[in-house]
Amino acid sequence: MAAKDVEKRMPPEREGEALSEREIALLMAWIDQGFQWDDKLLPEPNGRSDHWAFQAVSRPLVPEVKNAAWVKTEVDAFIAAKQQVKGVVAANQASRRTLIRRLSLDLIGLPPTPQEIEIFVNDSSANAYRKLVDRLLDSPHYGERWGRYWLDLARWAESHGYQHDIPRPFAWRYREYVIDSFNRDKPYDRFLKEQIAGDEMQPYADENIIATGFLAAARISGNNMDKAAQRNDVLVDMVNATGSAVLGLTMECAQCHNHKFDPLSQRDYYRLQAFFVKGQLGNLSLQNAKAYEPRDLEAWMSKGAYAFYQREANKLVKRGLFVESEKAHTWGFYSPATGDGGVTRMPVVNRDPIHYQSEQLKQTRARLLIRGDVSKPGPQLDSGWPVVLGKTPDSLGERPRVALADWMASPDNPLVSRVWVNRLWQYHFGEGIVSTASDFGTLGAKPSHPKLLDWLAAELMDYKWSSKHIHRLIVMSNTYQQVRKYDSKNAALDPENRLLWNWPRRRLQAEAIRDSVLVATGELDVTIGGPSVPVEREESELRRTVYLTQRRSEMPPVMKMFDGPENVSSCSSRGVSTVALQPLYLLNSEFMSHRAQALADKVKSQAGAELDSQVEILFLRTLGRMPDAEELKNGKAMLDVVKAEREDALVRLCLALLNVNEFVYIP
Amino acid sequence: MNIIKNDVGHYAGSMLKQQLTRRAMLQQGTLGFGSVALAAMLADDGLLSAAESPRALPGGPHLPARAKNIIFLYMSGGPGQTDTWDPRPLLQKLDEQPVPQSIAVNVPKIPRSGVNSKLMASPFQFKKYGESGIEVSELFSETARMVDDICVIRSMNHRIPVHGPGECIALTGSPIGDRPSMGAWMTYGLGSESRNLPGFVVMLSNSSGPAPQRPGWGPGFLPSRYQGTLVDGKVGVPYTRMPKSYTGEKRQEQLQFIKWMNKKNLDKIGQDSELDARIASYELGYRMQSSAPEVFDLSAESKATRELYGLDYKACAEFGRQCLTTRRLIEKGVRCIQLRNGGWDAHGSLKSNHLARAKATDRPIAALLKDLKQRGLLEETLVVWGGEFGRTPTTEGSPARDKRGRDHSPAGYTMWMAGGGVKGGQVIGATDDLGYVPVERPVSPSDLHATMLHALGLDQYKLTYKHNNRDEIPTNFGGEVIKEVFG
Repeated sequence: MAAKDVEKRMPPEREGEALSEREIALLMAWIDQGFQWDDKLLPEPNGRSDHWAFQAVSRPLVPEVKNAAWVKTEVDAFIAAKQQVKGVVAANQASRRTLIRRLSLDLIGLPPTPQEIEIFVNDSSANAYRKLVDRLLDSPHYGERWGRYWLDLARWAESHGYQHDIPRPFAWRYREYVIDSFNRDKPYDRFLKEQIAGDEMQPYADENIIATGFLAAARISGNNMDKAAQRNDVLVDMVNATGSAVLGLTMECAQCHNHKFDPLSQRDYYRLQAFFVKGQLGNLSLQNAKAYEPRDLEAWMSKGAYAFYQREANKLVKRGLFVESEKAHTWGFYSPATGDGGVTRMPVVNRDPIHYQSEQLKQTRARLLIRGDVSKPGPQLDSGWPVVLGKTPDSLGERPRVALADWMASPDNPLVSRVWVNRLWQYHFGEGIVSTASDFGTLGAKPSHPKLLDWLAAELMDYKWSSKHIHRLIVMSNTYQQVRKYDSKNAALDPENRLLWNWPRRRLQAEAIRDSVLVATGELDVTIGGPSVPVEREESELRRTVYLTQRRSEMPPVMKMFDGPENVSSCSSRGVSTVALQPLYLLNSEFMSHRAQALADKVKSQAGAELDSQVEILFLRTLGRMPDAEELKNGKAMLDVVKAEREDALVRLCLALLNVNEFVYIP
Repeated sequence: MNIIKNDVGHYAGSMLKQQLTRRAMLQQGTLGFGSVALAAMLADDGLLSAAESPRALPGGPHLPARAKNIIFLYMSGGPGQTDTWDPRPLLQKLDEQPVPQSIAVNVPKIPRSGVNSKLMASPFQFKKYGESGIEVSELFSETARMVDDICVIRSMNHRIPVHGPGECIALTGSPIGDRPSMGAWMTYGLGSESRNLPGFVVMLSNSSGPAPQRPGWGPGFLPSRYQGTLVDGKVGVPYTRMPKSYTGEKRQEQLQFIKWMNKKNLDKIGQDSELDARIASYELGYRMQSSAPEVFDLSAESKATRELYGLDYKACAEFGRQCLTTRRLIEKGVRCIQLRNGGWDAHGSLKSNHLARAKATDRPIAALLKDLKQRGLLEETLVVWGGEFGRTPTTEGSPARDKRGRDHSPAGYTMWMAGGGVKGGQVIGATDDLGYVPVERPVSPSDLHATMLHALGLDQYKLTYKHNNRDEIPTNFGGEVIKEVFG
């Protein structure tokens, strides 16, 4: 402010006049006097915004459309209305064979078996499709598929991250919690509350404590000697993830300065952080959950990771900072100030862990940090949510995070319901109604169908925050059931298919690719839940990919290869890269070689030595359909070799089928 | 196999944005949808790296490029500056003395600055080398012979005294590990010249000590195709070996079948650029499978070359192989290579630690510089050397003479650059008389990154990628080009 050089002076030339000498002198004197700040004098900013996403949700009328016969659920009416305006024409309905494959891959992440396909294709009852939808939504595999999306948002992993990336042995309980919550269609508002305020909730339940694994998925740097900075990094991680995953706001900008584009101030940021400053991550006691013995941990991580964990644990044992516990516990977030008094916070294994002092935590008060620098604390702040989203009551009571969660789930909250239905939409169609699914701020993308978004948000709230209700509205629609078909006229009007004039096919995600392979080979172990399986034992326990140990520095190859999340910050959408290493992995990795062999064995035992039926069985197992005449001919041609080489030829054809586009795309 | 013989033509689909990149947009503008252009683009896009060959940026590079390749020799753990490239005569005199107040007052108050410990003279001798007469430690007596091609920066500094975050600062600019690596930014900006190899290759050696930090070669928020491909120096690109029962012919037959199936599927749908790209990726994969192993096979290298890189000496064979492979990769058009050599974290027994590390790396690095130079490649290849930080001038650990070590010191340390338009034989910046903090021309990691980008013709402010609706730039935390580097 005092700089002579106009280039360096604040405010910048175009933004305002230079401060007067008197004003500068006042500020300097204030700084010299110790930068005192009177909270009482600090006025609550006037937060108003006419940005669409910050206005309360109101239920729009369902539009009437010309082609009323096409409307299967209200979703179609909103979609058709826009299509009519633009002049694009919806594609025909896909075949049953396509629909069951689409629905299965989309809802449970597994392809249908040939038997399931035949049953559906031949089901002549009027509600055949509805029955299929219900069966899939009721399947315990649904949670394994849809819970994984939430784990991406929660930047969840089973290690501390950063340099040492020491394992967090019990973090898998949170994975289990998420999968189970999706399977039970836990109301989304309840789901959020448990994750944000589980330790405060009454009556006590193990489940609530495990749910705090959301907050506790934050990384902790290994040997940062600066404990204040280390602790602050964890708090920042929690606020950013919550802001991004739940509110759809890019809060992180406001850590160092008022948000440049959104009506979010630095004050808002630290008031949100204030909800978390009296707590800490750690191992938390559970009352009824299954207990494990310390040596059980060996089976949950790679040999290297386990040895490392043991070494680090022993170092702490020697320093009197850690004891192994045989009591049931989980990795979570706990506040001794507001959390349930019956919870015991147990020590953790990390390089030089942050000290846990309950008295000190109780006394902690949130402060604004100047430029986000922990060594430059500014004024004290109370807990509160961003002003632009509503007024925080003067008192939040004894359980402030419960109050926060209640506010999130109140009908007045303009973001939480919209953000969630938009995510559900995105996971079904590849792109959200708002394409920037974690940025509903003023620079976020405008919704392609604003009324549909609000209508779905209203439905979510009116139907007790049931995600499965929203799934049904979407997958029962004609919009969802369209065939994938290019149309040059439509493409000219809407090249990006934002109006959904045909099915937006998309590649399977890493987990679904690997799981689909295991279904085709018949090897998949469908056990639900339990501790994770380390990648190095993935072939001896052929479980679904979601159960492979997620140590941040040791992610499963298939996830590294096919755009798995970085598990560092909340991930709202995985990219889809197409690179040459992917085919090399699918063609040359040991894992895939073994799968091709297993598939060939299955095909032989089912089809016998006859080449025609070998090709047919192979197509059924991989693509869920019979080969056409040409495919049969070309497939057989590959198998038609001298007898001694038949076995190898079949293995090669099996591997080929596991590589074709039809196998790795949702049709 | 040929790449996409058919006319690819139009595309459709909502994945458009992810698939068709800026260059593609440019192509649409200038070349229309001609099948040749699009086929080539898809082919390039399919390449694990990146792709947009040969230049990724619309309108070519922002600046006249000095270099087109970059080699980052990242020495993990933190080599001590006063033992390598920053001789401090006063330090030699004040062995076992406390830090004089005049210097101590300027040491930033960051943990483990060691300012209250006793000083430790370097156990190594320094000597002048080359026409420039720059003093270099005996540890690097071979690399020192190339000093007239090297620009030594003695005033590097930041404030993070921890390995993991420090490594992230050195390689991404941020301690948090959530931003793209510089290699990914460069690959994004430069594209790849090689159609058969990844555009950004990373090799690790001696990974004892602090664990390698994935963000150091990760994509951050950039599309994952820009990330570094971690390659085992001995084995080469992963998954390029066919299962035993295959012959080239059998694989071809298998690929033909896959391609035929994919084409049939595509014809049914109509048009789809993403599916096209996936078809192309199989052809590229096959080319990579056929040509990549050859690059990593050093058996045909002459005896003289083996000797130059020290491949037959146990101490430096591993890093020597990687340096030689690096030269071969550069010749094949790989533009970005990062070699991470671990184990420099000498808290105790610094003398034997640094001797061993130098023995493992000095000869190979000297060989790489010499070899690139004699092949005319050094001018177009920027080589950068350094760690996440340096080490304190004071001692820590055992007081016994040769058991003494040094703690981490981000407050002042040395890195060097060579080739790629860098003016060699010069020193930039200086630390105080003990090597604690810069007293002349301080340089931040972000300054270094801006300079590296500049050398490659990339303007740090124009190399943008939209993420969370912000135009992100590589040097988010500031950073200015060190112009003197280029003379």
